[in-house]
Amino acid sequence: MSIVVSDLSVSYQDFLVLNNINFNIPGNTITAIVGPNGAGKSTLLKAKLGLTNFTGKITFFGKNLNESKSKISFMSQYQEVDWNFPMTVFDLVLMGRAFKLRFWQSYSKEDLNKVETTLKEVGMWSKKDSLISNLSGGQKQKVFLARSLVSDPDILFLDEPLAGIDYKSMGDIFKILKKQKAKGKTIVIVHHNIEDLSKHFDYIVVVNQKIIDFGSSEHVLKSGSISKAFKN
Amino acid sequence: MLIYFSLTLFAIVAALYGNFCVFQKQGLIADVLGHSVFPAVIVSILLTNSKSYFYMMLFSFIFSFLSFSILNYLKKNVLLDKDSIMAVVLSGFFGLGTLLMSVLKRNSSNLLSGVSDIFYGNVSAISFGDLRFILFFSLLSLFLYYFLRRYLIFSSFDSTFFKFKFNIFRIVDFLFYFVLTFLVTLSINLVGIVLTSGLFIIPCLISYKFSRNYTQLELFSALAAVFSCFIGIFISSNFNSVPTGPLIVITLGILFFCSRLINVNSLKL
Repeated sequence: MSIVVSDLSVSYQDFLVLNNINFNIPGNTITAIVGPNGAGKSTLLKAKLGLTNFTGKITFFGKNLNESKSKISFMSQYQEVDWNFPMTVFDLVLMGRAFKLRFWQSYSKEDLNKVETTLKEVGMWSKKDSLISNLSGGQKQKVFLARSLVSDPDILFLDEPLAGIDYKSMGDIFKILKKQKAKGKTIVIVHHNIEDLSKHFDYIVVVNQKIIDFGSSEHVLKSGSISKAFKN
Repeated sequence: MLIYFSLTLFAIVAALYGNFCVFQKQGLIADVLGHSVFPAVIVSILLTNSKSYFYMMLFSFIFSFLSFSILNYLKKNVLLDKDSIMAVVLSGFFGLGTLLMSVLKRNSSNLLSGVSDIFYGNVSAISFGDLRFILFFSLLSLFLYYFLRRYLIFSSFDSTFFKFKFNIFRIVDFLFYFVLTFLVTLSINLVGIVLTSGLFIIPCLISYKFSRNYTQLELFSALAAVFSCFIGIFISSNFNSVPTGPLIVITLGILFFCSRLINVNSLKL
């Protein structure tokens, strides 16, 4: 098992957002975290990344977060960032390589080459000099995804990577993700669209403050637990 | 020459750090820190019974840091937007300053002369020693900026990613606000507490329209700061009764309105 979550609980002040969450995500899979609005999907993702306080335990390939941080990448919701920031597409993706540098070091040739390869991989090389504020919704998501991929992570967490984009861009992003899976990566996605789950995901975590169901997409879709989560 | 060199360098550094205030959606932060300097100066005069520059700076720094800490506490514990919280802290410190001013008027009215300079700045009141201190601190802040720059860009654009990937985010945050607090404290000589935020914020608003990347933004905002500071110091030092702060801020304001009139598509670099 690559990601093991045991007895995880998160609360904000007196409000319990997630209660006693347990599941194990196998390696080299694409997993969806689904649930209604306010179910705690993004909080679950943030807890895994150590961005919110929690009780319980999370391990990645048997190691804790700090030991595995260099092998994990994530993509926040694209609405959370300032797209009016004066920055080119190339510079944004380059950001994904910076954590390997000491504070006095500059980017190496290898870093620049890796950005080029990744931008080509997501089909955005032609836009490398464009201002990020001039990109469409789908292009923003692809560039954001490129920033997550450029550090060559083993585990990838994506928070709503398909929100607000057209059907074609959605297909493009899933193609990129499936290629990453073929390279042995483990991908976990907070997802809002429950219609395409069987098509793209190996595993599904259904959450609504607690775990409603977890298993292979076939099992979860047959059990009817998704509609149960959305009714509650 | 030293006055032009050290104060324009100071204005450049203020603009560079101010750019990040804008992108971190904290346009009022310089105002909050600036207004907390007002009671600090009065407390310094009341306690030391003198207008020692050293003690004024010391108390100003302590009060700025106090206001910043209150701001952070309220942000974490009160469900209000950043601007409302900043408005509360800003007016609170200004109110305290006004109250203390009335105490000073009653007890040591002989020390009141020159206190009004802290409201709108007055370069002719800056001594040679103060200038050397401003120059030294500006150079130190610029040196620190060179190392902080990359991380401040990351945290301004995507703070969640920055917090996850970089363990040094707390250090970067602390250093940024530490330098900013010091810069605001020093800026009272130049623009005064009422107009502090203009010096920090307007250069970014002018340059944003013309910038295709962050380096260009830095360059244009520095140019705007240099130009306005030069005009302000020149007029203020030649016509002694004119305060420097309003001149600098009005020049920046004119540059801002002119920048709105320029067609960017024909200029975009």
